[in-house]
Amino acid sequence: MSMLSRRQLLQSSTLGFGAAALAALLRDDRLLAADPTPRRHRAATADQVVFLFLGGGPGHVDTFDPKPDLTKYHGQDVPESIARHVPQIARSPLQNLLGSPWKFHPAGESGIQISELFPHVARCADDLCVIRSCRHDSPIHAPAEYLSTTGSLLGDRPSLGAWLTYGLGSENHNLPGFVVFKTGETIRPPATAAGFLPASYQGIFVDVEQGIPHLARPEHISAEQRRAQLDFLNRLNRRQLAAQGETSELEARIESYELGFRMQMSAPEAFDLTHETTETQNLYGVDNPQTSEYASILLTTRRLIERGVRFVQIRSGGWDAHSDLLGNHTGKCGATDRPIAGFLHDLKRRGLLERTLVIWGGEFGRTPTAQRGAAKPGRDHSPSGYSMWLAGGGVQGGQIIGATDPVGYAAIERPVHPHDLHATILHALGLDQHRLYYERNNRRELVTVNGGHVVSEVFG
Amino acid sequence: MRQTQSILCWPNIPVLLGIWLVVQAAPAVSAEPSLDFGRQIVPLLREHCFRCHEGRDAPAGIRLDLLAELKGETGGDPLVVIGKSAQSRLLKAISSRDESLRMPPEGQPLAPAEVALIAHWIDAGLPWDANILPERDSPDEHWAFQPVKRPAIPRTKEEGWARTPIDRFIRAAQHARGVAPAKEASRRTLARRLFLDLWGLPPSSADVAAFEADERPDAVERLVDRLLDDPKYGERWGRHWLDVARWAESEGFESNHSRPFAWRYRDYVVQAFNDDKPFNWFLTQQVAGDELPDYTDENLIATGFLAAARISSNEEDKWLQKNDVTVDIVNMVGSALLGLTLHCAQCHDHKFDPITASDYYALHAFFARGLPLNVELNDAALRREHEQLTRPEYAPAMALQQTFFEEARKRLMSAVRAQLTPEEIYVYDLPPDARTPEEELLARRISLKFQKSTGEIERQIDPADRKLYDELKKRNGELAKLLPPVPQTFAFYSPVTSPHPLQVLPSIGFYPLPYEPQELARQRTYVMPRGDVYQLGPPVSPGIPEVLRRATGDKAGELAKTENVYPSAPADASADVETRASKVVAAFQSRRDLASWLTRPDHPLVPRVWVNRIWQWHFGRGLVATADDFGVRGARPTHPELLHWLAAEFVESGWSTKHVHRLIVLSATYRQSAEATPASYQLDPDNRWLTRFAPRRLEAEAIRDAWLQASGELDLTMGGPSVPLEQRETSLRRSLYLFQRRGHAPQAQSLFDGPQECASSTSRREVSTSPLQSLYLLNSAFSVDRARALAKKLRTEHADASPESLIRAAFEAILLRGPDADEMAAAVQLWKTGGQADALEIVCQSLLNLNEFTYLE
Repeated sequence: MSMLSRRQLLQSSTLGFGAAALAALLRDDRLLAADPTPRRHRAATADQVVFLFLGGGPGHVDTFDPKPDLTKYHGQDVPESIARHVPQIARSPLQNLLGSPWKFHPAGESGIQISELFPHVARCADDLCVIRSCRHDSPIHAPAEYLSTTGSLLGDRPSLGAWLTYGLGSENHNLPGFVVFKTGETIRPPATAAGFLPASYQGIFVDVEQGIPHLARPEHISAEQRRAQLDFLNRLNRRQLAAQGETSELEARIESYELGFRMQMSAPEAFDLTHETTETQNLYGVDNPQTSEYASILLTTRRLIERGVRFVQIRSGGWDAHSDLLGNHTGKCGATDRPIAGFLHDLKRRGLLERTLVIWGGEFGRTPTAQRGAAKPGRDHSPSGYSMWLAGGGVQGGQIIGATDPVGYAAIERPVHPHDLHATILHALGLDQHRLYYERNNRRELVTVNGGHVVSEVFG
Repeated sequence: MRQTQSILCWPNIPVLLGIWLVVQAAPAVSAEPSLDFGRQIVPLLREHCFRCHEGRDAPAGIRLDLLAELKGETGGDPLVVIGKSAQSRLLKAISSRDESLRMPPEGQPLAPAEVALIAHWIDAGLPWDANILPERDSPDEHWAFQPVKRPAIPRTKEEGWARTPIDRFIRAAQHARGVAPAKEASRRTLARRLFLDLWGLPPSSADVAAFEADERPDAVERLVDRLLDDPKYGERWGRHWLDVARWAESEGFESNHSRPFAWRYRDYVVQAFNDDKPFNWFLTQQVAGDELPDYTDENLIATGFLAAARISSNEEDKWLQKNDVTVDIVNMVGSALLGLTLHCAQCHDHKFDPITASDYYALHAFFARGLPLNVELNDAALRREHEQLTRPEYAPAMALQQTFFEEARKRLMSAVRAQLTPEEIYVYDLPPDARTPEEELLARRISLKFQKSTGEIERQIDPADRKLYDELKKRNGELAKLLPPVPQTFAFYSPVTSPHPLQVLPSIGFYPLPYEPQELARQRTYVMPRGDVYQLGPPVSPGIPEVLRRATGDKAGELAKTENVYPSAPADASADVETRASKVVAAFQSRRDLASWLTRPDHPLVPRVWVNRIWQWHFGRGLVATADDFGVRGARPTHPELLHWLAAEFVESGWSTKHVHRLIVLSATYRQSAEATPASYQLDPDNRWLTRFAPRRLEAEAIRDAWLQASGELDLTMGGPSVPLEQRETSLRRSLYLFQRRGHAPQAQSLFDGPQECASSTSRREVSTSPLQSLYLLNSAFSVDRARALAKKLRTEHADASPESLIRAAFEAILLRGPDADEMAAAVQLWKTGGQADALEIVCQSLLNLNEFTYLE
C-alpha cells in the first residue's frame, strides 16, 4: 500500500526519485515532515537557470565597476579614510593601488559602464542587472566557490542546481535536470554536488564533445539486442515486483531503465551542434579558435535550455590573475565575451531569455591594489566587494545595484551576500527560501542556510 | 481498535485522508468567546485521554500532557496544527465517525460539545498553562540520557517462534498491535541475505546448495560462524565504520592533497572487526591511541579516526585552519559516538538539546593540543625493510636541506619579531593562561604575522646557499619518488598529552597546518560566540557536556572504581586502568579521560548508539531511525526495551560486536521472508513492527563487488595501499580498496550514493535511482567486461553449449537459481535476437541488471 503512485513518483522529479523513494521509506519519521518536493510558492519569473561561473575571480574594477579614483591614486596606498572600512582579512594588502588598464564606456540606452574587455556583452547592457556590491569574507578559492554555489564554505551542502532540481524537477525526462560543463583543468565537485540530498540531484558533468557519460551503447550491441534486453529486464523485474508487493523504489528502478533508454535515443541530438546554422554558430563564435570552446558550450547550453533542462552550470577556469592581469583578463574576456553576448542574443530572439535566468560571476573579485613581487602586475583575491550580473528570467536589465568604495575595495552600499543572491534566485523561480527545505537531523535545511534577503530591486 | 492507536502514533495516510473527509463533512464547530485551559481543557483530557497518554511512560507511547509533544517538538509528528483544528490529528482522532478509528478506543466518545471545545482550543492558538501541565520535559528526563537498565525479556504466547531473546521483544510489540510475523525465508534467500549482509558479496551457487542440503539443526549457526570468522566480514563491516568516521584519503577542500598513508587506518578497522576487538578498546585506541602508556604502532594508527578530518591547506589564517579541523573532529565524535548533533552548539547553545556552547568548547579542549599528521612507525620489520631499500646519502642530504630551511625560518621569524612593538612582544610572550581574552585575541593576531609560506621562508635562505639548497631540494624530491617512504601513518598526535616522543614527518600542502609543539602546549580553549575564532568568550577546560555529566557522575577519576573498563583488552589496557586508579584526577584532562568516560559500562549513549547502528545496517533502519541523533528531537525508539536490553547485553558480553550480530542474524525476526501477507502491508505499511524483511538496494560497493564476484573475476587481495586513481575503473579488487579521493569517487561509488566528500559522519546511505545508473550498468566498460568474462567462464565450464543449458548456467551463477519456464522462454527469445554481441554475454548482462540481483532480500 504505497503512498506514492508511480505517476506521482515520476512527477516528483525527472532524474531523482531519491527524495520520493526516501519519503516512501521514511514517511512516518519526522525526517520528512512534509511534501519533499514542493512546487512553486509564488508566481515565477524564471523556469531555468544558467550559471556562468568564472573560477579564480574576475577583477571587478576591470570589468563592471569603473573606478576613476583608482587611476588617480595609481601607485599610492589605499587612503586612510577608505582603508578604515576594508575588512581585516588575510590577503587584503592596502599598498600600491593599481589603476585598471582598461577604459570603460557607457553602453546601451541605460548607459551602464562596461569595460572595453567586454565589447560584445556591452551591446546587451540593457538586459544586464549588475550588482556591484557582492560581498563575503573568504579570500580562498575553494571555500569561496562553495559559498557562492552551495551557501557554505565547507562544500558539504547541496549546490544551487541540486536544490532547484530537487525542488522543481526537470521538464525533460530524457535529459539530466542539472548539467555541468567546464573549461580549464580545475573542477570542484562540491560546487555542483548533491550534498545531503540524494545523489540523483547532483550535477552531471558533461564533456561538450562527448556528451553524457555512458550514454552510448557499446558498439558490439545492436539496437535490436538492446531493445530486447530492456524488454527482458522489464518482464523479469515486473514479475518479481508482482511477487514481492509494490514498492516505489523497485518501480522507480524499473522505470529508470526506460528513462535511460529514452535518454540514449534523444540526448545525442541535444548535444549535436551540426543542427545549428552557420549564422547561429558564428553568432556565438564557434568559428573562431579563441572563442570556439566556450561558444560550443554555450550553444549546447541553449539547446539544453530549449529542451527543458533546469540548471546548467558552466565553470570557466583560470581567472586567477595574481600576475599579468593584462594578459590574463585580455585572454579570458576575449574567449568568453562574444559567446556570452551571442548566447544572450540567441536566447532573446528565441523568446527563451524571458524565462531563463542567467548569472555571471566568480567566487570573489580582485583587489584594487597590485600584488607584491610580480614582474607584471596582478591583483589578489578580494571578497569584500565585487560584481556579478543577472539577466533574463524577470530581471530588470539596464540597472546597477549597490556600490563599492571609491577604489573598489569594499561594498559600501546595499551589500549582497551569496545567501541574499541565492534567495533572489529562488524568488525568481517562484520558490520561497523558507519553504523549500530538506529535513535532516531534525533541522529544516534551507538553501540559504539561515536565510538570506531577496534583493527585490533586481526585478524592478 | 489497534488501528485507532495507529492514528495517533504513526501517520497512516489513507486512514488520515478518510478521517479528513469525515471532519470536513461534520457540522461546523461554533467558536466560543473565552477559554480556560485549566478548567475546561485539562479535565477533558484527564477524563478521556490521560489513562494512556500521560507521563514519560505513557502506555500508548504518545503524550497529551506536554505542549511540546502536541506541537511535534519531541520527536513525533505534530498532533495539532495551531489555529487549524480541522487539520489537526488530535481532532481527527476524537471526531472520527468510524468507531474502529476513533479515540478513545474504549468507553464513550467525546460529546459533540466536548469535541467543539477541543477544536476551539486549537483554533484559539492552543493556550497552555505551564503551572498545570509542563510545556516540555526537563532535558534530564530525556530517555537517551537515562542509564541503561537491563529490562526483563518479555514472555510471549508463541514461544515456539522465538529463536533469540530479540524475537520476544519484537513479538511482544507485534502482539500489542495485532500484527504477526511473516513466514521464514527460504534457505536460498537466507543464504544470499547472510552473505550480502555479512560479507557484502553474494554466495556462489555451490554455497547455496551446501546450505540447502545441510540438515543439521544448527546449519544456520554454522553458516553464520563461517561468515563471521572470515576476513571478508571485516571488509564489509569495516566499511560501515569508515562511513561513520568520515574517512577518506585526501585532504578535501581546494588542494585536496592525497594522504598516501591513510590506508593503514582502513586496514586497522578491518582487522578490528575481524578480531571482534572489544568496542570499548576499539574506541579508546581511536580517541586516545597516542596517549596510551604503552606505545604500539596499532594504537597510533587507530587515531586515524580523528585525523580523517578535512584540512584546508590553502588557508593562510592558521587559527581558522586549525579551528576548522577541531570543529570537524568534535562534530564527528558527537554524531558518531554520542549520537548527538553537537555542531549546533558551535555558534550558540543548542536549540533543542541541552548542549551549551560551553559544553561544546569543553569538548574542543580535548583535541586542541594535537594535530592530524604523518607520524613515523616503530615496527622493526618495516624499518629494516626500509633501511635496506633506501639510499645512504638520502638521509644526510635531506637533513642538510632541512637545516638550510630551518635557519631561514628562524631568521624570518626574528625579522618578524623585530618589527613588533614592545607592547605586542609583551602580550605575545605572556603564557596563554595569564592572558585576558583581549590579550589572547591580540596575541592571535600577532601570531598570524609569523605564518609564512614555504616560498616566503625559502626566499630568506642566504643567496650563497640558495643554489645548493635548490639543487638539494630537487635531488631529494626525485630520490623521494624513487625510494620507499619511511614507514608512517596518518595519525592524530599530541606532543603535549602523549607520553611518547614520536617522529613527525613534514606536512604537504601550500600552507600546511604548522606543527609547532611549543605552540600546541600553549593552546588554551575559549568559548567562541558565533564560532568566530576572533571573538573570545570565557576560557574553558576539557570536559563533557553538563547534562551527560549529571547522568554519569562528574569525575574522570571515578571511572577507575568501575571494574572491567576493558574486560578483554590487551595487557596495556589493564595497566592503563591501574595507572588511572592510582591517580584519581579531579577533572578531565586528556583524551584518555575522554575515552574512559565514553567507554564507561554505564554510559547512557555510546552502547545504545552502537547497537542501534548495528541494527540499522542489518535491517535497513535502526530501532532509533535517526541513528546519529539520539537527542530530544531525534526519533524515538520503536522498541525501547529491546534497545536497552541490547545495549546492556552488548556491554555484558565484553562489548562484543559479533555477539550482537549473532543475536540479530540468528533471530526469527531476521529470518523472515520479504513476502508478507496483505495484513502485514495494511497494518504495518512501513514495517515498523518488523512483520517482514524489508528488501533494500545494495550499497555502491556491494553492487560493484557482486558483479565481480558473479563474473568470477573478483581479486580478494586484502589490505595495503589503495588502488591508485588511474587504475580504479579497471581494478578487480574489492571496492573498499579503491583510492578514496574526496569529491572524486570511483564511478559506481558516485552513482550509487556511496561516500563522496566525506565532510561529516554518515550514519546511513541514501538510496536514489536515476537513469544514469542504468546507463552505467548497461554501457560502461565495467559492465561489458564483467558480462563478457562471465560468458566466457560459463562456456568453459559447461560442455553442453545449447542456449537452454547456458541460460540455466547463467541464472545459477547470477541469481543462484534456475529459470522457471516463463523466464527460460524470455531468455531464449533474448538469445535469438539478432546482433553482433554474443547472446550469452547479453543474457548475463541483463541478469546482472535485474532488481533481484541488485537488492538484498
